Order: sequence, then C-alpha cells, then structure tokens
Amino acid sequence: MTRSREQLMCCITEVSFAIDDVKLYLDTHPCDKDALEYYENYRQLRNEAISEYRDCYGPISSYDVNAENVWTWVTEPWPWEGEC
Amino acid sequence: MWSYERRLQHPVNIKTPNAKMAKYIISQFGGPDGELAASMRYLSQRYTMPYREVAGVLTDIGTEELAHMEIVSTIVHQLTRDLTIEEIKAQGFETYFVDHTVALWPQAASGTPFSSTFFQSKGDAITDLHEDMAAEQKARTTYDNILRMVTDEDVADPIRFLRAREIAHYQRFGEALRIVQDKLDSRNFYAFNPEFDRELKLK
Repeated sequence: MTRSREQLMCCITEVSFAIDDVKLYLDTHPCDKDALEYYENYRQLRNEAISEYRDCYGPISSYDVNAENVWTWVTEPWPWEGEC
Repeated sequence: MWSYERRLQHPVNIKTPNAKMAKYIISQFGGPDGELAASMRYLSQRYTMPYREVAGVLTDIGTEELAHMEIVSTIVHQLTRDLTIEEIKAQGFETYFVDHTVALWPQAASGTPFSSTFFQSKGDAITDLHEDMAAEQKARTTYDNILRMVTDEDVADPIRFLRAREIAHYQRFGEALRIVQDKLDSRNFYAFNPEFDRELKLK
C-alpha cells in the first residue's frame, strides 16, 4: 500500500523531529541507553519514509536524486510554497 | 558542510495573506532576538569551545536555527504573496515594499537592518553559554508577544512550535553550562577562561 504524499511528508516531519529533539539530548547525555535506543528506532523509520517518498514523489536531499530521466530536484514544489 | 532538505521542520500553510502580521513577525528573521542571529551566534561560538559535547550542542542547535529561519521566512512569504497594491498600502506594508517588493530581507520589526551586533562570540565558555541561555529566553518572550497579537490559527500554530523549541534549547544550554562548570576547577569556578587559558582547561 502506497502512502499519499501528505501522509508520507507528515510521517517524515514527525520522525525527523523525534530525532532533532533526542539528538540535542544525546549531545549532553551521550551514554543514555534509552535515548540511544530511541534514536536508533526513529533513524530506521526515517530512512524508510525518506526512501519511499523519493521513489513516489521526488527527492528530499540532492544527494539522493533518482537521476534517470529528469533532474527532479527542481521540478517539485519548494517547501515554502505551502501545501506540501 | 551543510546539506539542504526539501521540507520544513514544521509545516506552514497560510490561507489568508496579511501584511500587517508579516511586518512584526519578520523580526524573528532578522531582528535582535531572531533566528538568523541565533544561528550565527552558536555556529560562530563553536570553534573555540573546548568541550566536544558542548561544541555538539552549538553545532546542532545552530543548524536547527537555520531551519527555524526558514519557517519564519515562509510565514512572512505566505503572508505577503498575492496582495494587491491597494492591500499593501492599506496594511501598512508600503515602506517595506518600496525597498524589497515582497522579497525576504532580514530586518527587525522597527525596520532596523540585521546586524552581527545582535549577538556575541566572546571566546569564553561561561560567558557564551550565559549569552546563549539569555538568547533563548529573549526569543521565547518575542514569540509570546507575537502570539498576543496573531489572530490567524494558520500562523499561530508554527509560532507555537518555534516558541516550544526555545524552551528545549534553553534546557540543553543549561546542561552544557553544567558540563563546563563540572570540568572547571572548583576553587576557580568562574574566574578563568578555558577557551584561552588552555592549561587550566581540565581539573
């Protein structure tokens, strides 16, 4: 089952934020086992969601463009345009 | 180095333009307690920070502030696009419009241009971390003031997200300060500078 563009972007926003937040905590608590496990869990979820989004709707990162036919980095809406 | 992700850290989808709100929200882009100053402050301070955990906090918060600058810029952009000249004049945006049309330019709500005098990079771990904690609180107060004036839920939602991040960052800088203090000589808690007096760096 393929997730819609909105569902997938919403998922990427959520799992990425979990990492953004715990990353700062780990900077000051680098040996916290629970936080390390939390990070690892969300890192996997994020990698899956980013790959699925790239394959269905276009690249999130310019290191990760599927460069077969067209340079899709510039053909999709930019984030500040809204509705994406 | 940095690499860009084609997404906002928190979504912004404003349906109704309103240049009046953009006029004061732009302060969190280029104003004295704005996100540009925050990012430049932390990313400038990190090079001489002698403790790796604290340099990590400065790097990661400095990077997140760039994402916050993008959110604030997106709010201003979506509040000012699709306006007629009559609306721009009626909403008091003509003094900005004459110099920048509806492009983004870092300035305070008062019109004062962005300046690196908005922040310090002092080369003293204790001094800089106190500045950083104060900066997070000043930005939080500014977001509180914005929330007192904003009437559109589409605008208030990302502003509340940004406000919450100021509190999380304040907490992390507090822990960073504790790490520095724990590593200083307990008989000389504040008097010397571990970024310059290297031989005094460790206990």
